[in-house]
Amino acid sequence: MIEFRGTTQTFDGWRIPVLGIGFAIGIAILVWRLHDVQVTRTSAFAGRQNRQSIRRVLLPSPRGRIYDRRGVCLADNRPNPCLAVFMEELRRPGGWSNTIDAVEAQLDAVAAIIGRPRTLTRSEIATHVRKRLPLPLPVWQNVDDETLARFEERVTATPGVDVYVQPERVYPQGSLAAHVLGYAGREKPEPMNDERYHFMLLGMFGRAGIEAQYNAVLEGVPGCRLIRVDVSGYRRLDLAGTDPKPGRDVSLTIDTIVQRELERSLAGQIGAGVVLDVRNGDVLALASAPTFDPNEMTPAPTRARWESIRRDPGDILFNRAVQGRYPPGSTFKVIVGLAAMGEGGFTMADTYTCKGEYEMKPKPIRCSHNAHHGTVDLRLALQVSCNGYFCQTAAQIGPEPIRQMARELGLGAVSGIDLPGEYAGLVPDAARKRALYHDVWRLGDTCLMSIGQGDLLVSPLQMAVATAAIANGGRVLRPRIMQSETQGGSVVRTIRWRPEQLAVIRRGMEDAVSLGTARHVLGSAVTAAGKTGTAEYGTGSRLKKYAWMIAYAPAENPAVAMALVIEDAADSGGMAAGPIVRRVFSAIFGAADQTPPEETGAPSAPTANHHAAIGGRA
Amino acid sequence: MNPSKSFGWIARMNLTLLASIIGALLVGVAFVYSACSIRELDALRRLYLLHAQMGVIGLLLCLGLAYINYQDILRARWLFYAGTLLLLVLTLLIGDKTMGARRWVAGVQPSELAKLATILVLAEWLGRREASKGIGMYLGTLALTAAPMALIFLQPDLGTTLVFLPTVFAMLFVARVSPRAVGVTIGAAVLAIVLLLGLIVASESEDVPPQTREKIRKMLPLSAYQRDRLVVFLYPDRDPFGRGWNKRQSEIAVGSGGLWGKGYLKGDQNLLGYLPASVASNDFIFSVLAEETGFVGSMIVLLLAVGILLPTLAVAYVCQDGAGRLLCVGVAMVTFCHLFVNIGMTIGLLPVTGVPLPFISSGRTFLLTMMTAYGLVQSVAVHGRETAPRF
Repeated sequence: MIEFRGTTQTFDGWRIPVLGIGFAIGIAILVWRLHDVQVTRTSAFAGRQNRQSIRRVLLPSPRGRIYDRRGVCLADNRPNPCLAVFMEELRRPGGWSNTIDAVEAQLDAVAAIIGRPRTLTRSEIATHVRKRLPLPLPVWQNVDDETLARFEERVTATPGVDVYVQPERVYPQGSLAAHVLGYAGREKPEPMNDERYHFMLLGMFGRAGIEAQYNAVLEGVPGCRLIRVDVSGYRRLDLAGTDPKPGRDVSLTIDTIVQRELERSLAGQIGAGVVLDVRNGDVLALASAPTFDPNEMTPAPTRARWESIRRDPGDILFNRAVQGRYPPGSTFKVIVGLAAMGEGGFTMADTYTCKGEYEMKPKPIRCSHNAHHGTVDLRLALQVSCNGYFCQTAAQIGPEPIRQMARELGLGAVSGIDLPGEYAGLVPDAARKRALYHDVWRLGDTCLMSIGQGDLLVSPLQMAVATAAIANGGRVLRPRIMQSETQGGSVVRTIRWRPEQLAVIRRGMEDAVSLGTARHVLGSAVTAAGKTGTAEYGTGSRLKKYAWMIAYAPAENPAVAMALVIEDAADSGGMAAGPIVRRVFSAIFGAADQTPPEETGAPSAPTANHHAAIGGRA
Repeated sequence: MNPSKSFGWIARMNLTLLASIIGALLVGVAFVYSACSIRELDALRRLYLLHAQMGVIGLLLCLGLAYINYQDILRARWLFYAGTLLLLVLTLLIGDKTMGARRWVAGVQPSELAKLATILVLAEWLGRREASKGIGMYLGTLALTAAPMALIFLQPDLGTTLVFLPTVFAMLFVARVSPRAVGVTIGAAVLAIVLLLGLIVASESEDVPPQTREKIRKMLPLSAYQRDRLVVFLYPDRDPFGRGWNKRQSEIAVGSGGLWGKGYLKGDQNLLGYLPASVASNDFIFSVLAEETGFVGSMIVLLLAVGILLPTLAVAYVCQDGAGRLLCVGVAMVTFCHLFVNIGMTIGLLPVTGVPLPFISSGRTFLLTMMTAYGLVQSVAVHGRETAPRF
């Protein structure tokens, strides 16, 4: 043993090894725990890391286009080049206000370069930082090429601002078929109750019309991008994701030529019209006036535009063709006639002698222009629209067969058209009257109903469906706007009319066109049958008229049916609505519009190729 | 052979120990760089260079000390001890205040020096006095230890304070000082820790009424933030975005590293800022390393640790001199404590404390202190066996 300074310390040989064993135990514990954390439970920790740093961003898919039956594009997408801020490139250390300062300074610099003022406020930037930090913030929308070029020239001088393309909905035909198409708006960032996405890049969402009805088809399947954000929420890098699947293009049954003619004829008035293919329920045209330009509604109307829409007394977004509620007036008489010839057991031998008015309390029902129709049978009554005949008939057969026929023809229920917000209409009955007015159903109610007044309410679409059923021999069709492979359409029900029962009605309607109230339809390219109606509403000096017309053509082998209503009309149904029906039929059936001399100056639309709309059967 | 007259002393150094230390230093430079390369502050980005410089200086220091006989250095132990105590007092008075604690004075962290100073004083004292190994020496040891501990506790720095206890008791154990008293004290300490944790559980459980909680909190000899750290340790999910943040994020870093890690410079927790810049390069350097190199990298670090601890104990074991032997034991125990506490806190085994990882964490005082300590261990290796008494 070597001697050291001082006394030699005796030494237990085991104490240092014991210490070593202690170290070994400690290190073994670390190994065990590290193995547990890094090998056994690694996926749990990786999951926790991903949860806190991976953000799923919904990528909207390109929206499907909408075409008419001829392949004319009605709704398309166009790229909207924006200049957007990418926040992560402008971040500054310290508080958020430093970064927002940097963003503001950069935006002012870009504004000077491109010569467009910055419209984004500081609080809007702050909101973006708080809620959507990893996403680009579009600042200047719809930047034109010249501005883009000016920007690109100086692009190195402006880090953090770059071009960013947003898809946008565009309606190339302007206001054409606006109420059918509806419009798509920029999707609002909904609060994330959907756990799958943290952020949404704003896509387009159907807000009305076909855009809303078929949103799921048009929308496609959104994609997902995974991004990794740092602890402050800035985007750090993009990870893999799934690409969006574009929405499906759809073709409508609408024929732009017919649609345009109908809209042009309705322009400047308040009203609505529907044109159906009586063989399958295809909607060839569906218009409501006044109308609007859906381009103004997407991605969102400006505040000023929204204000003017809200104040517009014409209620331009309202689709009168399917949502409007109107008394059908005398057009309802064809339904009374069908009921009379059916349940009512009437024949052409049942006549009525018209002296200009029908005795009724509290006041008599007059025929228009106080006409004395003399002895009228059903056919003549339809031709001249004799009120007395139908009051008398309804009084004899009672209200129930009439209601039943109306319901069979689809009144009082939604037609099932593929457009949102359809009005179901109203066929009044005793129970409803008792509940609403605490009164019993009287003879006067039956009489009013027989001439399409009273509480009876229909939409133009419903009248078009009923007219189509009369034209096609009793098939009540579900009208459709989306093109479908189904031949013959979707039949809601088939009414079994006796041949002479239907024949009388149709002959009456043909006479109305050729000789009677509906003669303003005459002169179109095709033989037609129809029925006018003039329903009065309001009282005293504010007494106004709904001018109605239902019609189908060609008379001998019907292909199309239409219903038309003009609100607040100066003239009777025949005068106000007749020429429109004529022009629309001419547009469909091709030959030049033989405009009667007194109506020169009316637009004549037809051009080539119209027969395609109707399968060449004109 | 006289090692001081030839290069034989280099051969007599423990080369495994030297190699392991150099290995750990290289790992340190690499991962201080990784932890700071993306930082915005230049000073932080250049921290790895500082670490490398300090490592080189430290190695030279280490070699120089190995050449000198440690017994000559031990003569200056009281000067070192007194100087350290003075620095600790100065720290309390004029130290730089960061995050509620005064730990630095003139860029030096005296609490790290104090560990070595205490080891030196105790090594000489416990290693020399064959005659009085009774309770008197035990109480004297406690007194010598209590002075720096109290000053460090006041900074406050509980983690560093507590490192003293196992170190001193390891030395008492090897020096065979009053085994009964040592045993009783260790038992009492374990009891105290259990009692402390028990009281915290009793006061911080969800269903404890607030008045009772306040009453028990006042009884605890802990500051609010020390208590919070223990609460976070006991209830990790209670405040994940506040006081539990570092613990949670370091566990995620280590755990998500997996078997092979994510690759050098690819640690998401660090890159994405979930590990705060203020701790990534020092207290939580192991999290950065473990995330980037996985379980394999963790094992390499532990292997290096074994490469340091085992030779140090071996040097102690073969040393003929009580003072040299105890010096090695003290240094080994300090190293082990830092290693165990530092890695343990990143994986949820122990509460979060500011105890750095030897040779790897940035922090020059601690690095130079450790290099000095291992220079002395090498000196014991060189001079502790065959040198003749020199008087």
